[in-house]
Amino acid sequence: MRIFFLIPVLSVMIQVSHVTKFFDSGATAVKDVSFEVKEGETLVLLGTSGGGKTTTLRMINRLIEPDEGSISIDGKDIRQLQPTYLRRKIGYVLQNTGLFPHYTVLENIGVVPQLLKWEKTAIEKRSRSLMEKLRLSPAEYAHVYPHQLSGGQQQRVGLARALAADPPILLMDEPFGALDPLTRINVRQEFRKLDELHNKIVILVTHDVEEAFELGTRIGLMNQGSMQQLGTPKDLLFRPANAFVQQFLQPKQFELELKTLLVEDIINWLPDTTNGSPDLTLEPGNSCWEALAAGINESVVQYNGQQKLVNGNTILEAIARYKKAL
Amino acid sequence: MEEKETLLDFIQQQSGKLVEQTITHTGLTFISVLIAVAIGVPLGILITRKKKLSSIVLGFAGVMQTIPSIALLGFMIPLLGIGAKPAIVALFLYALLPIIRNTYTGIIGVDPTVTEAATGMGMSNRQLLYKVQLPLAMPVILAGIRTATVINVGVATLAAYIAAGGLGEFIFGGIALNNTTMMLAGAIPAALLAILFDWLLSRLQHLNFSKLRRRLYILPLILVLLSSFYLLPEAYESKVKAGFTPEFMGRQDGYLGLKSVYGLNIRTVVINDMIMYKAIYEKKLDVISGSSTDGRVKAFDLAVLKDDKHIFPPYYAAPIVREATLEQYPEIEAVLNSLSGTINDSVMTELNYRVDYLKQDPARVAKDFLVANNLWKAPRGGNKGTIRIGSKIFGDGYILANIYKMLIEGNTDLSVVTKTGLGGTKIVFDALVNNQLDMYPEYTGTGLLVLLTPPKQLVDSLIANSQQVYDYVSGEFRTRFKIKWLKPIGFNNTYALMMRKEDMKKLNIQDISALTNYVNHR
Repeated sequence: MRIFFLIPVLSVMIQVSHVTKFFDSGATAVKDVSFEVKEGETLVLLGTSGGGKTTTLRMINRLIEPDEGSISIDGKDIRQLQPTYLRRKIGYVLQNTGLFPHYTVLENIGVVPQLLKWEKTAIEKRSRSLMEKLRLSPAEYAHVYPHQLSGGQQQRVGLARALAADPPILLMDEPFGALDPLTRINVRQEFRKLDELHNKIVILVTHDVEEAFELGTRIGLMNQGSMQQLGTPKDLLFRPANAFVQQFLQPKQFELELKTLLVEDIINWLPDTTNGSPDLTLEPGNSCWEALAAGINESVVQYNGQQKLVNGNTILEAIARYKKAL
Repeated sequence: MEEKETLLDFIQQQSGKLVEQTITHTGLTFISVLIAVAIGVPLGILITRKKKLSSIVLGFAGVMQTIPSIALLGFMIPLLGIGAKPAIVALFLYALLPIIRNTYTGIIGVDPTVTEAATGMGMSNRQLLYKVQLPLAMPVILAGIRTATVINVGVATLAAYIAAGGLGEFIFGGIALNNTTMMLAGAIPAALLAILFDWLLSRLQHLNFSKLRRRLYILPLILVLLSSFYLLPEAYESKVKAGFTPEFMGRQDGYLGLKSVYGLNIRTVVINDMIMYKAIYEKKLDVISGSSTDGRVKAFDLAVLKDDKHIFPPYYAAPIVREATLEQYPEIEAVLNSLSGTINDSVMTELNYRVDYLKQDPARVAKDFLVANNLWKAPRGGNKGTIRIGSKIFGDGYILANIYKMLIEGNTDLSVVTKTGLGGTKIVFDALVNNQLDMYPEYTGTGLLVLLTPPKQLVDSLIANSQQVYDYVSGEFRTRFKIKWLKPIGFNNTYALMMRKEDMKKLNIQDISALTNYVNHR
């Protein structure tokens, strides 16, 4: 059961079970929260501020100790591990980056490998390669100090620092929160495409619903310290566990449905057509949002050997039928 | 221009001494700052982790800072004696507050996101401290060290008071001798040192973060190097050690005369007269320059060395009275003269001892003395007129004013008001000349050197003979101020070299020539 900490692992799992944390005042910060995250998954902890998501996150790398319950990684209770040892195995990205102002970009990225006593050349090689992956030219930025970077660049360095030692687990606390909307979308898209993240457990805290639905394989919606619902984006959208979940998603419901539902989900409710030739081909993984954008003017879509008519009306009709059929 | 030239001359003449003092001063400053850094920085770090301690530690260091520096030096004497040790401890206590406080605020002021990130990356407490907190707090800590250094350059001038040397020797010598040149020769280098150290540390403070990390290790090295300066002058030590006041050091009728007339070559330290008696009593010194009738001579079991070659001018005390007053009330002259010959040096020392050391009321001491000498008479309570008696601020004056009051009120129908504690010579004398006083006790030496200030040749011709001095001042006062010197009381409150009685007995030294002989042929 010690695989995670001894040799490169094939499969990692975090188990959080019945964790409770009280504030110093005695109020409950986190109330009986349980979940599991597996390798390759991105769990998004979503909720209003003060909902207990950051506290939950920080209990995983023992920046905060739970008052009740336990957390284990690969079956091993983290309380039995040296905090410093544990933390060096877990990437950590903070909202305000927390970059060391007296370290250069390269030195910042190399912090954890240095703590792990990697060879100097190995550290430098790894840091430079991460900079390239995150589209920060090493020639230009390697020896620059954080305050000389833009917000988006700083956040990339923060991410590179968390990934430097290739930890199997990545904890991200509002990683894009401090960025302007446009930069946020760009950095987020790059983040999704990053091959470094494959096969990692990512736990990401955000209050941004769109972000949660875009990045999360599963979403845990928290309010006032308790987990309101834990499930896939579809679960939350179409099978809300309670009124809070429904109300929380309400303002963006329509957009979220379009982005979450894939063409394959509603294909059966789209009308067949024999008119004309297909203008474009959609993949099974394209979202309705993308289909809508493509078919903004009425168009014919070829999908899986079928020809379907796609326009605003047909998509909305199909989604309505999909929901009815649930 | 002339002033400038004399300053340059002085610096040239005294360059050896000036260099030694500057080195000592630098050493004193940095050794204390070094110890303060060695203790203050860890303490500052400790209280960032144990916040409950912070108010106690900062409070203690704050209280140290509020103690007047000369008082703090004074407190050190009974604990550590005189010389470098108490000076360094006092300076260390002064340097402590800015260093602890800046270490504390510097570390507390590090962005909490940065420390959280460092912890989250898996740094241990020690790594957090050395890799993140200290480097980021360093500009603030350095600012504290800078403040402490500048404070200490200033306070270290006071070290001269307790025989620790430094530029204070010239400064206080200059003040005591009213010698501006000497004062500036100490004050200007002290100011330059403060500016120089401040500038150097500011350079260090503004170094680039990353470079700072590496150069940081140089700082302690520099501190240690500068601190070791202090050890240089202390390298040689002599068996007989003399402590002289700054004033005595610079006077012809003081140390200069001892060297030129007696040929005395003794290891000297400069020391404040408030503490030198205590210092010789505690065997930190062997010879001091004192005032012959000081009560502490008795209190600390000292004895005066005979001035067998007469380099110290006579300071015989006598009442000086306005002639107008003597014409109006001629009866008082005989009454005042009745005291003449009754008080010799040891009697005056005894009286001073009771007032200064045993803290007895001067009026009671005066009465006891008169009763013992059969001079006391109950006051007649007459109302023929009023005599106004003044006195200077120190012991002799208080006692004599009280004795004269009792004598006049007991033997005439006059009443007396006393105005004691009138500051310096100039104030009392002006009050007498301007008819605000009728009389006060004065010293012949003071009359000659302070009030009349005749040309140097005349002084030199008179000074060895006390009768000639008396004759000269009483003649001059009569013609110039219409003030009469009555008969000398008998004691001579002059400069004197003194030693512990036991030493004098053991070494069979009774006069300064014998001391010279002993020191020079040891």
